[in-house]
Amino acid sequence: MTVTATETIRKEIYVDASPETAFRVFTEQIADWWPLQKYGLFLEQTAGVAFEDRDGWKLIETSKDGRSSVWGEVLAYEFASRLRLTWHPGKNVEEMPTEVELTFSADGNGTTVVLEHRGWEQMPEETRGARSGYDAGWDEVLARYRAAS
Amino acid sequence: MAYAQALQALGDPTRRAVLEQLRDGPRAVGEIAADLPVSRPAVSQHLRVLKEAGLVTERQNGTRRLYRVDPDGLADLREYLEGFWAEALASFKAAAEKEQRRNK
Repeated sequence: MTVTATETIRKEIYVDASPETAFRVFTEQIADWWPLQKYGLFLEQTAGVAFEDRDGWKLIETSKDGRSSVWGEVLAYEFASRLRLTWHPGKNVEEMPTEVELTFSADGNGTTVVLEHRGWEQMPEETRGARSGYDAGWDEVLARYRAAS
Repeated sequence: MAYAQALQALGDPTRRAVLEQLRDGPRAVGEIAADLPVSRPAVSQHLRVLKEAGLVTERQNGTRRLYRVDPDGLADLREYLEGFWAEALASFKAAAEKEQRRNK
């Protein structure tokens, strides 16, 4: 028997929009399309969801009575190309260490969007540690990449 | 979000190791503990969390209590996440295409 639940979930969709538009709608207009009534933490009490800069960029849902819940923290942001974030709605990352990566690729007149939701076992070691290690870890990787290219 | 409990249960590395021990078939607590650097009471505690998350079931076999992976639990989790993302992305696609038409 294989424990299939821990394998990466991969979804690919074609969007009849430019990568710029697709990326902007995903990041800046997420409250307009995310099915919050069904897939939100506050359900009918929800006041929306947005990427916000609160001690680092996070995806945060807020409720009508002023509560807020972090769904994930942005690990990588490349406009019109890639977005990577930790994914742990209502939990902290140690409790639910999964991450989501989206890539946006120009495809004819539109964009192919690939989403991967990875489990714990695929999490790179550097993102498994304490939250404080994240940004530093990623900056370091990028710095090495720049130095190498 | 309904799947959170199962994901949270799997978030603990020792608990994943316990679940791994059940991959090849049902086992008793003592057998699982013997193969892991964890005490028997700790294994019992992890099994309880896995059971509450719907990932493991137990049954009495004579004097032995055997634990096994609940394939329905794992399939449910998987199915939930697949459906969750399919729906979210379909909604995103509609919004992005609407925005593109608006900008033309």
